Amino acid sequence: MSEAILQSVQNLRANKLRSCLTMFGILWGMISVVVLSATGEGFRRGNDKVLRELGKNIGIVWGGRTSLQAGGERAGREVRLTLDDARAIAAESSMIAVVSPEIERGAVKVKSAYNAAAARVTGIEPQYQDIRTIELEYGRSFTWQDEEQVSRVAIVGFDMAEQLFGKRNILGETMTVNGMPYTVVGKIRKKNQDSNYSGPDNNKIFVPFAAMSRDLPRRDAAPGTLSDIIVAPKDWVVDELPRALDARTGRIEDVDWPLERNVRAILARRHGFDPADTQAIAMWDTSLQTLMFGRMIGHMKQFFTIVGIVTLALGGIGVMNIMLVAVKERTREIGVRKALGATTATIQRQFFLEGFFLTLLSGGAGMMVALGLCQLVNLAPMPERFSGMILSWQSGLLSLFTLIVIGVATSTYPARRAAELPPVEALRFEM
Amino acid sequence: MDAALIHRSPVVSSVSFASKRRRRWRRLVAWREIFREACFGLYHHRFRAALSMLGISWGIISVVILLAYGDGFGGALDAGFRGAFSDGTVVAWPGQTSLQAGGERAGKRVRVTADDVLAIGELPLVKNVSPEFMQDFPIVYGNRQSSHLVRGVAASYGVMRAERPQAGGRFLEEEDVRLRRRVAFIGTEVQRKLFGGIPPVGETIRVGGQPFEIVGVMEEKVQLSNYNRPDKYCVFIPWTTMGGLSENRYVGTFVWQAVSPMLEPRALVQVREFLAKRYRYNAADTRAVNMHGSEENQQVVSGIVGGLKLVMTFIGVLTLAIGGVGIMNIMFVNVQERTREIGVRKALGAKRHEILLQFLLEGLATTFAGGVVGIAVSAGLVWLLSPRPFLAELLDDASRVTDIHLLLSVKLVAVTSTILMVVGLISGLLPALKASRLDPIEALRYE
Repeated sequence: MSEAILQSVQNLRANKLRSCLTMFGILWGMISVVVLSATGEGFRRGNDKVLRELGKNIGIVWGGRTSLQAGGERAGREVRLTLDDARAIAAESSMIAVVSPEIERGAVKVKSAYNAAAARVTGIEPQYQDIRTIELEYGRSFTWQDEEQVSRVAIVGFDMAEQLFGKRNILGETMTVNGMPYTVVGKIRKKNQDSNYSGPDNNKIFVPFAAMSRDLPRRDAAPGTLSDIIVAPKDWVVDELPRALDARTGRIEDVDWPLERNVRAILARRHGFDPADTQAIAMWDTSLQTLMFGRMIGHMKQFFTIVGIVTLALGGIGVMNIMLVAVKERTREIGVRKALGATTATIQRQFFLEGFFLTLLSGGAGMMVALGLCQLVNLAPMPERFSGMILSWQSGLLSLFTLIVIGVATSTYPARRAAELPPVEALRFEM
Repeated sequence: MDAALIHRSPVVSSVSFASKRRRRWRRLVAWREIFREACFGLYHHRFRAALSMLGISWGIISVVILLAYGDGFGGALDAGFRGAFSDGTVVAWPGQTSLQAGGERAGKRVRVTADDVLAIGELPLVKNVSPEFMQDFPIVYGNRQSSHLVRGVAASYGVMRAERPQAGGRFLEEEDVRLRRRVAFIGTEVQRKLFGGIPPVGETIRVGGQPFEIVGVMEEKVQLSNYNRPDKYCVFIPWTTMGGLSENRYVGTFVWQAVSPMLEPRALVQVREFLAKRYRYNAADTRAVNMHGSEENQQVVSGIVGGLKLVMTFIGVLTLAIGGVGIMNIMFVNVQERTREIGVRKALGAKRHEILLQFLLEGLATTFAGGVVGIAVSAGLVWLLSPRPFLAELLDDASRVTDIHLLLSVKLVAVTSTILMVVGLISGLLPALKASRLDPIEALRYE
């Protein structure tokens, strides 16, 4: 074995230019496989990051207006969601993992020691922070203690913090919200949100739900009315989504999604509307978007991977061509070796190893170069929805596997040709 | 002497003519010889040549497909964004001041009146402007009812936001706004919900209890970005009429359009200054009246598309280069194998440039044939593969304009052919040079 490799190296060195040119094909093929799949992965991660900013798989539920009559009441009645509705969904739904009520008020007068603002203030329960990706630059998150004690504490969005406090550290600062003193306990990191339902989180102030419903209830609705309820479905619900999508007969917007149906059924019982009344509540399910974007990126990645592999195979053709030439050139040598007792298997192994070794060597080098290239590209600033070139271990393995397959495929045929040469003919051969 | 000269000159010219003709003839024969040699070389190593050709075709195919994919990607995103906004259109929504101004603290709410919005239209760099009031209303037609977002807007809104009417209808007009007519333009989803198969134009719907006549239905619209709701779910009525339904003193949003997209940044400054002066806030305060221009979208899109195209071109060109290197490699082998033959031909008087031409021609012929096959195959593949799924499923776009459409454009073929030519020349020239520079004596002795 080691002898065979040694001989391969010698042969490669004997034809330096030829070997280099051949290796270049594989080298480049490998680079393009890695670069393309890293680009695809970068798109996937960048997209995932943007989707996560709003909350990756969440449903936002609003009260609507009934459009069907039910229980003796006429259509057109307004459905107003309450805290009890949120609790009922959490208790009764088999599809939902986390529920948080939300009350919002816009243009609330907020004053710090330095500046003032007309801000959007949102009351939330602690579990909201996790599903809506409220991540802090510094400070602490809300806890159930804040709810029980109805603490007047606040977490401030990035841009709002800058407006109210400038560049200062805002921890422990006091501000008045609608005249009432609140202590800042945290600052949200800068968010790069591409979609929202009531303004970007960067401009908001969050307070505990209990404090919100006491200090800043909605003025435009009966006391205790929520703005909306945020729900996070269990993982299996999200996993089932593609099936519901593929099983649809009409257009996507006409699909009555299982999650929404589930929530509607629970609320229908509590508010006495028809469970089939799609207008009674409105729900925005972001997992649908996640799925769609995932598919879109998946298609792109798939395309890139195929192109990369095809390119690598092109390098393989070069190897095969050159190995065939080598076999022809060394016909005489093969004849001599066979005459001296080399078996078909030995010859085949020698030529196979030579080609395979050439492929692996240049493929490995290509991988290194590609990784370096990715690192280099990642130094530049990246656009939104693209996280730079990242080689995932799966694609890394896939490219190595492809390389090996191509190496085997392209080395086998020339080796076969060499091995099957009849010794007498081979000895007589002249170029 | 003079006579002799006169006498001789035609003879001289006839000799030179004959030699010219002979030279041309010889050159022709030489060319034919070179051509025959090249053909013979290719034929002799047909398997080798075929594999090299395959390399080039393969390279061409991947260049074409990659570049076409890049173009299609850009086209799809463009269709998604252009569908929502004409060039140079800016959406603005009043917010709150974030900087102190004129002794007043920040945090003052800015309320912009419809009259001031219309006054923006008088600014030199602004072409169109429309106030916009948005509110959800129950919409009733016959016994069907559903809730939709109603947008109270001006006639120019249709141009700026690319609201195209289906045949037989129209968008709102100046007259509708001036005379406060109760007319409505509806999105396709509204039509679906309320009318089913009935043609809506001329029918009367009730918006918040008041009767409105439908004057037009929107064409299917694919929209990648929106505020509040995609347009197909909306009902558009004159903003002047909106007053009868709800308070319309202060606008929720307004939309304006710069004279040309290039002037959008300068127009933005002008509008900001105008509003800052009118409402007494600091003109540097971007959050007093938030503005989002289509240019911003365009920049993000062109950033992504540009980056992707760069990667694609890089990969494609180098892939083709691999094909070229394959040819070069095989040509070098050919030269080496035929060293003796070259020696013999040189010894028999073949000129350097003839040897060079012969091998160059061989390389070029392989490249060219591979290229032609490659372009033909990729034309087929492009047709077969297009469209690649992209955004259409996401946007429920039945027309699939937001999928990636691969297209073998003239530009693409020109670019590919140019690259091909360069690749072919380089990979043919180097081995040919080597062949032509062989020392005949050494070459004859070669084994």
